[in-house]
Amino acid sequence: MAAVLQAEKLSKQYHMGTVTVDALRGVDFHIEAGEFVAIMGPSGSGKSTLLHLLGGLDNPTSGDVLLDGRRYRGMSDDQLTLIRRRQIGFIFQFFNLLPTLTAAENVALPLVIDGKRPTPERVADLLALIGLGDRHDHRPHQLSGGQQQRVAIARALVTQPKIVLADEPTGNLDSQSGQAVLDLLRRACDEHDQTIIMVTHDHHAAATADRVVFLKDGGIVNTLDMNMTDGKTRTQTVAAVMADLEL
Amino acid sequence: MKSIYGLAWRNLSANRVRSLLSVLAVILGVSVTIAGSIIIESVREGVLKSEELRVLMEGLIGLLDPAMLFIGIAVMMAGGFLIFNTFGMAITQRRQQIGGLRALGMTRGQVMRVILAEAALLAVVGVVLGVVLSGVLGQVMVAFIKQLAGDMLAFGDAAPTMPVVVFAAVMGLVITLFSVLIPARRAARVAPLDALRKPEAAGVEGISRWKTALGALLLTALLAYVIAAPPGEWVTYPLDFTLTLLFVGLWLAGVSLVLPALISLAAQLGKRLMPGTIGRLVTDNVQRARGRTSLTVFTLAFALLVLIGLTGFLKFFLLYGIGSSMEPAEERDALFITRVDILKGWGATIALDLDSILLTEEEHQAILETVEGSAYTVSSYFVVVPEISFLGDAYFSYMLDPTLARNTQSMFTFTEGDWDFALPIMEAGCGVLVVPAVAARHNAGLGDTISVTGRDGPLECTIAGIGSGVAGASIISDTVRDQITDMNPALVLVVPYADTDPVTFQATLDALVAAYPTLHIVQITGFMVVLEDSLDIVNVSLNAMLLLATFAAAFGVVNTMMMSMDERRHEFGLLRAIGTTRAQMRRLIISEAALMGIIGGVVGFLAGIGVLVIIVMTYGLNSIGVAQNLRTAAMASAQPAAVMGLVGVIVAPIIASLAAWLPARGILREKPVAAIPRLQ
Repeated sequence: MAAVLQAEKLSKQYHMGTVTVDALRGVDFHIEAGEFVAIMGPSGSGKSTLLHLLGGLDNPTSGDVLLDGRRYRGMSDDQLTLIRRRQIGFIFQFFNLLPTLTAAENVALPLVIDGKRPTPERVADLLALIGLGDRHDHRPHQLSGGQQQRVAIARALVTQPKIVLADEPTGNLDSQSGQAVLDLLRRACDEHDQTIIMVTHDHHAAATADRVVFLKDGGIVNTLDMNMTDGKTRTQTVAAVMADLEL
Repeated sequence: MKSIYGLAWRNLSANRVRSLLSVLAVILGVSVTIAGSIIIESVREGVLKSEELRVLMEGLIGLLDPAMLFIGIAVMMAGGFLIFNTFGMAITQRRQQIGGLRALGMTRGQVMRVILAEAALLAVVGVVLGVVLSGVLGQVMVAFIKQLAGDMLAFGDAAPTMPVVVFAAVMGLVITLFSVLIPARRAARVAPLDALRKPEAAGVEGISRWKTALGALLLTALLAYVIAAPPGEWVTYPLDFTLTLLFVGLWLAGVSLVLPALISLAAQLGKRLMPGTIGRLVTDNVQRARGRTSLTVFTLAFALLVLIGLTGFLKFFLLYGIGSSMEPAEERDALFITRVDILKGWGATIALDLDSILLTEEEHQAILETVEGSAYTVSSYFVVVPEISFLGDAYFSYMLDPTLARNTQSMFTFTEGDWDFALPIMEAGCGVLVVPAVAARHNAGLGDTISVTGRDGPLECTIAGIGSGVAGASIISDTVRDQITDMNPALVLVVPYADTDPVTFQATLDALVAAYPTLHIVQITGFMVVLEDSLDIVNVSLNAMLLLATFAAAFGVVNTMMMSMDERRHEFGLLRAIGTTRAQMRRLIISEAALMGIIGGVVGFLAGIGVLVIIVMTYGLNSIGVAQNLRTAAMASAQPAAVMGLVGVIVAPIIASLAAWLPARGILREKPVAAIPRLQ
């Protein structure tokens, strides 16, 4: 299958006073359409930086990202913004729902930003899909953390983006809510052929993916094809690799 | 929500108090401007019963127009600072949210348009309500001034003029939109990555040393320069106004540059005066989020600065400028005889028609015959000749017999030319004696000819002298009387000869008044008192209007405190959790606001005195041909302004403390646990 998203020798340096930190060191990486990829690694390994660069939220120090063969480098801020708007959906750890909008309005927001009139049916279908059909007019503060994250997922899916980037989507949720979120992401991938890239610390969450990419010190150190694990459970396999990395 | 502009409405309604404060600021600015127009029109309506008189007095009453507009603009600017601060703080607090929207695909342009739409909504609501409420405010102010003035002024029923209403509405919109331009640009620059960062409360911030040094240098150099070598001694029209504006702008820039350092200094002093944890927290807190604290303090200081500056400048210009032009007459024990009993106040006397004000031919002749042999006399015709009007084009001028005017030695003081040069010109045809500003306006000098408006068409007049006329008015020779006016004289100026016996002379005058009860004798000294009383009334009225700028500043304090409370909710929760009592918390919050009020009051006082000195020393009185010792005039003008300023220093912290009461109540009602951060 063709790579929908590709990182070419991606590097990112942060300058903190006189100290330069290499967050990513020449990462080469590609993701195929309809794939569910988890990115794991110890704190400071560069996984969030990689996600930000893949989503066009930040610029690399060197290297480039290609989405459907189109290079990010050289694109204007508005061009990158349009890519984020129409081709990428974001799910944040802290949900980032607008407190002034209802659940339905939050879901419809990306379409509104794009100057489109969201049909109530589309929004209602998405809310039903995430199990919040009866929370249509609730505002974020009237929803639990898990419910808010599900609204955020619906918001990420409303434009039917090719790629969904999720940054620790279960990081702030209890295990039951976390599982519901993972199920939704899995369904988006399986039923709608959407590409999911998820940064996580959670072995169990990572085990939901098709492939797990492990980062350490700004570089990819291991990759697990979750369909090829044998003997152990998927979660145990991920945990074992992580344990090695954290040694 | 059908478009991104729906977000603007949601943001405003989600922050009701903040939006309400911003709308109130716009309402204040707009309604004060329009109320000013209502006051002036009421004066016009009350004082001027006839069209001819209206034309004659327009110049004097018209002086109030720019003063009222200035006040409206000052109040609106204070409102603008509040709106700038409100939006600036809101952008800081919504950083994560805006970052989220950017990550979702909102362009920089869209972010900016949403913020501008919020401002436009506030402005439109504020302008509409401001226009509606201005009628009430205008009537309240008129009632207040009536109470204050008694018979000194008369008022009629009046509506504001349409140009002022339009100006106020446009100003409300423009200042509001302009105020949010910088915050909106800042919002547009928020990176999508900000969505992923947790917002943090501001810590104690450092001060930019070079900015402080630059500000201090600017203030010191400016003040030293205007005191050591007052530009007002040499500057002429129109550079006087431009230079004054420039220096005032530089002064304000200097104040804003040193303000953060002054706040720190005050905090250090406060730390010594308020020992203990609460004192420490209070003084530390005013040094956090320096930008918004500085702007809040600056708004308070600005309101006080305008109050001091306007009070002092009015005192300077009207008493040392216009008033001093009457000194030659005062020194010669001059008086004038008129049908208007001006000593009883303007209101009781001018509320008449023109015929009852102008001298009849019989009265005029009787006055001249009565004082003949005892005094110099000059009959004064009041005319409006736009080309020689010293302020605008409607200020009155005198039409006089030049020889008689010279004899009185009271009507004009030359800075260029003299009576020997002027008399032949004025007796031969149309000669004018003008203030320097009028000559400069025509780019003409002594002996040059200018064209003026006559009853039957343009009239060529020669500038026979440049200097200072009584009350700033120009003089036109009566040789062309028929071509300028057909009215009788309004008064006869009488200057007793040096050897005239005062007692006998007074008896002569008493006999005249007995024979003609419609006539009144007005001593120049008495008239000066009336003038000063009128000035005081105008001054108090203007200050009352300016107090509304302080209200706008107080809204700013409420807003800053609310934002600060909101941002430090977790901190307050923690303080409450570890045992800080509600009373201690209240003291902390109120003390913070009071400290801001004290700093604003003191800075406003000092900066206000400074701005007054700069205005007096730079503007000077050259435009009206009055030579004054500017240093003495500045000192004397600063005294009443300083009293006003000291009141402000006391009132500012009280207003600020009261303003903090509202946000303090909200935060103190909460249980400590409500403010402690929870896992979302």
